[in-house]
Amino acid sequence: MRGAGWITPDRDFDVAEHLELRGLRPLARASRLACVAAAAALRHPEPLPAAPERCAVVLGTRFASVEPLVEFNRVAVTDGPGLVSPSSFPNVVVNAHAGYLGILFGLAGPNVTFCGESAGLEALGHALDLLELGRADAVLAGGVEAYGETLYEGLRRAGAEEPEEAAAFVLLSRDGTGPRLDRAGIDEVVAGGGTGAAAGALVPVHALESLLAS
Amino acid sequence: MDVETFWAALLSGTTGAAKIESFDPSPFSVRIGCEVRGLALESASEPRPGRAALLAAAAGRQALAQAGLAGASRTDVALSIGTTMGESCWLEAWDPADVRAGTVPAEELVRSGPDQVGRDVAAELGLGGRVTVLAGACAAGNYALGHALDLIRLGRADVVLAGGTDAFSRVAFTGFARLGALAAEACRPFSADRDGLVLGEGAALLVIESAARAAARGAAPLAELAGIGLSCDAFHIVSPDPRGRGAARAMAAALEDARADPGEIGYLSAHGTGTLANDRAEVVAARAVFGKGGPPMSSIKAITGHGLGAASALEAVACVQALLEQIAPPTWNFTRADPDCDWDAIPNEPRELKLGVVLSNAYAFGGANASLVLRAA
Repeated sequence: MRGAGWITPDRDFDVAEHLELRGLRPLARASRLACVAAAAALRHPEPLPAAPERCAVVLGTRFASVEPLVEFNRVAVTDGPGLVSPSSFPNVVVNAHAGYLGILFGLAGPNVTFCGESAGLEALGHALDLLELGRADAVLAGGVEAYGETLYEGLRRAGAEEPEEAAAFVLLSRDGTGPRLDRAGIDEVVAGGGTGAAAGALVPVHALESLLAS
Repeated sequence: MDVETFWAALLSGTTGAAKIESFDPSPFSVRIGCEVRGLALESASEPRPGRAALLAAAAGRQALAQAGLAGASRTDVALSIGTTMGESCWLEAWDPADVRAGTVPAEELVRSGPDQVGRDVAAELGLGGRVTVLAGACAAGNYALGHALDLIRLGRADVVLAGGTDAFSRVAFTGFARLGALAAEACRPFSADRDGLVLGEGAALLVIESAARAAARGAAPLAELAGIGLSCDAFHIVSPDPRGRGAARAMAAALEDARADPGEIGYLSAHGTGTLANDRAEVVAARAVFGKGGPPMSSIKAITGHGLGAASALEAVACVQALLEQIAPPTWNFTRADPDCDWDAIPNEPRELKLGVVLSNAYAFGGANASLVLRAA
């Protein structure tokens, strides 16, 4: 599908096999998965569809920061705060994942991150708003959730459904190129306060499959 | 703390910076922070919401009361709230043995997802509208305020309680310490001898509604939220672009969104963290937008510390007060001018100014920039 990319990898998924970009080493798994799906949606390394400062990123996630947060705290508690790698700190900051997309693909427009069960859909809806309000000419929008050992074990013990990791992005343009989205469907879910999906269920991939109108 | 106390502290130079009490700072060489103290964060909810949510709920109650919505139905009030990483309070309180073994409390882990802040604040305040949680780190407040503006403009919400919150976090303190970003003794924005930020915490929320809706219910607006400008440096994950290009684009976009000319801006509320790199880049960006004779610019972070997700929301409140009182809060702790920050930083003394329109900057990890324009009502 032109302008869309998604992955639902298994635990052995090796990002490096799918993406040749320098400087990926400090990135959390969520950022890496997002990069792979984003690269597909952007058809990287093809030129961007608009001037870099007119290209926005909108990301939705619920738990992308939690495993990095747990791991950061674990190293600080176990080895001492002086032994935590400074480069691991941005990964606990939720919007860093979208920040990496901006840096790696040179997208210098608005860079926005939503959090929640339906954050992937909020991201798609907000992408349409950015285009409507003229804040961007193209928007890379989607969502990501990533596997984490402590996170997944915790979700299971908390009674959540078997969590699922994935990343999905679409590239939307002001001139109407790219996938067409069902705006009413997005609004209905977002305004309803969520999908009712259990913790860890990933909205964007399924949403993309059902919401892509063309 | 109420708005009057906050504003008085900004004008008198009363800071909350002190030795950290919420955790043992002895493993660190820097041991100061700006913690919220003496505020009873009560909640009847079970399980008890986290500190970021309770700080925000306390701020939200004040905002709703000031807007005349204290006793009103809140079924149509939406929430747009920004945070850095949600609640890290549970995780930071886990037993070290459990942390080492990886056997951590599952429910608290799930509630460490940042969206929990939004759910808890909405529940505490009885808000029935849509709840949006934006992650924008040190710019999260401006992101949330800007999103509220979009929701109103596009008719997706009638009234939005919007702002930011973050609790004092050992994880955040550790991260900034490891990045070498913490000031040894005091935050001195734009001073030649500045050596970093002082970590803080807090929350600030504002009631955002259309002028027509405010007029219809007989409410007097405090100020107009006139425009938002967003950009990404696309440069480095923690360092600002030294050429300030993204920051300049965010300011220019906010001015355009507000249909304001640079010459109308009477006061610039700086991001002004007090780090060498931020303050220098911010001045470069301001010069690109305003030229050399731009408006005076101050940073209240010398007083508040860096409240991360709360910071720009606190600064929006300061901007509203500045417009109401026609006084700009100064940059306290200013010692001597830095040739690299050649700008009027309103050092150490509040200044009476004729203020019609003001601009407030916020910059975050990921190179995410968000500038707001506020206009006198």
